[in-house]
Amino acid sequence: MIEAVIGLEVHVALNTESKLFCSCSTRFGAEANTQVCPACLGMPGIMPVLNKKAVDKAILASLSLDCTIARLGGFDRKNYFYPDMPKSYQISQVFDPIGQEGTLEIDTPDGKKKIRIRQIHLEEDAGKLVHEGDSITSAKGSLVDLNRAGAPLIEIVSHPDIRNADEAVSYLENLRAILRYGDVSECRMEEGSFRCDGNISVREAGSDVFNPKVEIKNMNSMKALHKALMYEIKRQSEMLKQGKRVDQETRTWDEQKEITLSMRSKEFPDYRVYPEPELGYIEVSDEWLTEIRTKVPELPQAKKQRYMTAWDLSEYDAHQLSREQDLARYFEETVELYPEPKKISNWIQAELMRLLNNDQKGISESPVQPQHLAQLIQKLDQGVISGKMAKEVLEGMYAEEKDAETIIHSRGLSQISDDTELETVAGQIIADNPKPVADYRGGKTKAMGFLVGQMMKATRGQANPDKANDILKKLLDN
Amino acid sequence: MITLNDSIQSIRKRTAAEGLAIDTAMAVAREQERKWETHVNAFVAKTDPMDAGPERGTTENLLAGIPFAVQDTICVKDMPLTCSSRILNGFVPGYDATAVARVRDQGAILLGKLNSSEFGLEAGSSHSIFGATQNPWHPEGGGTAVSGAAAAVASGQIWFSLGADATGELRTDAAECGLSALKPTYPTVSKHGLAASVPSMEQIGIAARHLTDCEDVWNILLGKDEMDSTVTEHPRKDMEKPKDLTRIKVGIPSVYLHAADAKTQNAVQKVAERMRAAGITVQECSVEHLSQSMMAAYVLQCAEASSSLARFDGVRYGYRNQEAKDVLSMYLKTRRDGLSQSTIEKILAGTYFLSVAGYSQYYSQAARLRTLVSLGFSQAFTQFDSLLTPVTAAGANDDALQHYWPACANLAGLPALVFPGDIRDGAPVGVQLIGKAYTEPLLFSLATAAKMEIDWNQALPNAQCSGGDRV
Repeated sequence: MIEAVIGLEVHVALNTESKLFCSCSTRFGAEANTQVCPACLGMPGIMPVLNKKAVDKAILASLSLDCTIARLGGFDRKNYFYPDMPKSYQISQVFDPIGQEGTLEIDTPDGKKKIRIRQIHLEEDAGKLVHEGDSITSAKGSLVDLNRAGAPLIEIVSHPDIRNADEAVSYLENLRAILRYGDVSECRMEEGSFRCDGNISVREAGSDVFNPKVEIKNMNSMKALHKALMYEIKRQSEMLKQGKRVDQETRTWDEQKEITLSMRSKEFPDYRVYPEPELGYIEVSDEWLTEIRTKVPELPQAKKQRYMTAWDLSEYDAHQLSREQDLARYFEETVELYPEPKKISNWIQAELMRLLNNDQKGISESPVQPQHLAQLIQKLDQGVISGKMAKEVLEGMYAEEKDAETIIHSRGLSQISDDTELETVAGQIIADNPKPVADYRGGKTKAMGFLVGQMMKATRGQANPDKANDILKKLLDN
Repeated sequence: MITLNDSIQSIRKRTAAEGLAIDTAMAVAREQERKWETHVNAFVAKTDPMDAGPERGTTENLLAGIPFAVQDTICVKDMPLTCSSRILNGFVPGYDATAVARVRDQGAILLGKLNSSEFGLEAGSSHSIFGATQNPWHPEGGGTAVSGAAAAVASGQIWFSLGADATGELRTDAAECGLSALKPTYPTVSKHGLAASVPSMEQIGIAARHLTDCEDVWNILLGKDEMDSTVTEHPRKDMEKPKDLTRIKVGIPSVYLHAADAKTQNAVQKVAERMRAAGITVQECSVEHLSQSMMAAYVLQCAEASSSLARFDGVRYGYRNQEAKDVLSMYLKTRRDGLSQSTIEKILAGTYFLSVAGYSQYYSQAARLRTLVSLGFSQAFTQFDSLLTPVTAAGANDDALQHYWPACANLAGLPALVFPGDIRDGAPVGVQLIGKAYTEPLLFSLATAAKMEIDWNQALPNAQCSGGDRV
């Protein structure tokens, strides 16, 4: 048996208003080179000034992942030339990362598993190059967009504890959920605010040998990551079987061909790292740490557990509802207004999500507010409307952005539950249908079904069927 | 009439008492400029004097009407920044250095930008695209080249200059020109707007003919700055100066003293005698690891410069070689043509010192030595209030590292004040006081008691008789 040894490096763009060392905006998608200043253009004489909010978020992310916080940290210069790197060095944390040795729990077919996190460090992003032409080698020229240069990133580096592609995806999904919960980042892979590189090697299962690792880049979606890792595990396993040596190298995932391709081998850049002399230390005081600690939200795993134990939800439902903070918030708000978590869970997942998915909307854009959903389910439980009606009412609420009551009235959908009104109708039905009445009285209880049907017809479906049944029975049995 | 012997304080008093025009000092400066600038070549760019703005010249401002200039490694908004290098060709910053803004806010009048070696990487002004600046004490040549920050003040064209001091460059040139110069305690003066090559050691310093001018300008430069987060408040700037100097003990580090040439050693001894005459205790002492500070300073300077100057790559601003066909050749050709050989050598050395191959042997050893030198000073300051030293020992032998003696103060972040100690063979010889962190006021008191007075109206040879050829 062969097993994979995988470690992931995830770059997460923090969702601060401004960049890490200047006050330029970090907004995505602006016109090229409009969000730049002398600092992020690397002009002489301009010093970096640390954005404290970015440090707040890095600490929050570190605490959410059970990391130890470096109480006296600093920054370092990583030197290399590239046109998207204005100072020709990146300010990063190499020697004293802000978060050290944490864990992230994932679910595997064999139960829960802890993936250890080696470190979380703060650093500045680079700009972007746009090549005029098809590829970098054939391009006529290259244009530099420095809007992103200097934007704050955290890099989260795991230990090589991941053993297959499923675990890698699970790790990334849980990581994303946690970071989104803490409002650390939007974590949008397609916008580049959540980027993942993998280090992978294979070995005989159970062995504790670490073979030379291959770094894989350009995995731009969860799907791509999964495919790339699967491909690479297979490639390396086959080499191993054939007795070939896997060399340390960097490979890129080719999305079209669905293979990994060698980018460069053995040439590992010497970044000439040394302490950044233009920034002071980051001293994390007790007060600062306490302040951030209070901001760490209940995290997805804890929520899921609570939904299962306190609210008796299935593991599947609990997982679905806790994965995204917006959805969990919506769910919990609704439960607070009407404490029927299981029913609410069903309505959200079966009906509301279907409507939202059709429109490709997220829960935060839902036209149906939690109080209205609570009201709807309450009306259903009270028998004001039937289950079938309730679905129609929800669609009305969704389309017209109105509460349940309004839709029930405007569409004349409420069930007739008023006993006297139903008794009048029932009296008429009995009078009009002597044969079935006689059948029923003669012991053919099936005839009752016909009579209830007639009641429903006479009330255009608005009679509460249970009530109609009860009243007919009462009148006929006397 | 105001003369070169008037300090800023004296100009203020006399302007008020004698009802002199606010631009009296400017008139003196213009006259000196006419007489000297072609000989010394101190300026690389001049401001339009009309830009000075009369509104700056109200007597309420501490530096009202006082002409000054800055080394061209310091940014002035809308004036080209060259760092005396080709590589910044055409670059015009849109921002003022905080130090420049602070003295201008006090009414000082900026006359222009001053020459230095490329990026201020060494004392003097060799490796400048503007050619060398001549020491006005040696208008015929013969002396070593100095920086514009020293020559412009000594020749009376300005009252003070702001220059950069990373390993003692400003102090070395000031000493050659008979000036006073202060490198303040690190990091109490904002570096915003200083194109620093060696940020962990480099600071903006002040050179002036008068000690009190150095002190007055220093006071204005202090204080926090939101553009430089490393700056700390100076806790003792208003520290009371000692009334009784007889309780002060000054040490002379033997190893530093004896490294210097005879005339410098002699100047130090003369200053020591003046101090003793004022009741100060002066004795030779040892400062551990001090003699190793030069190697450490050199390694750190090269290492930091290799990364700080890496931004000059031709991509966004400045000079770019147009023949390059791809990114790599653009980098190589731009930097080969844009930088002087001397700077390239330092960058190459620094690149090696930081590389995997050189890090443990050079960079980390230098960083360790830096700590040891600081500890050596701390130890010495348990016995002495201040240390009296030569400035450089460069004249003593050909070892290039001898230039790095004054860098010990930069390594340890200590305040260092240079002032004239003697005049030998018609040229000034400077000495230096190094103090504990934040003891600038004490250094000024001691220097006032022990300095050699120079009559600036008489001291310099008459430039106009010297033939007038530019050197």
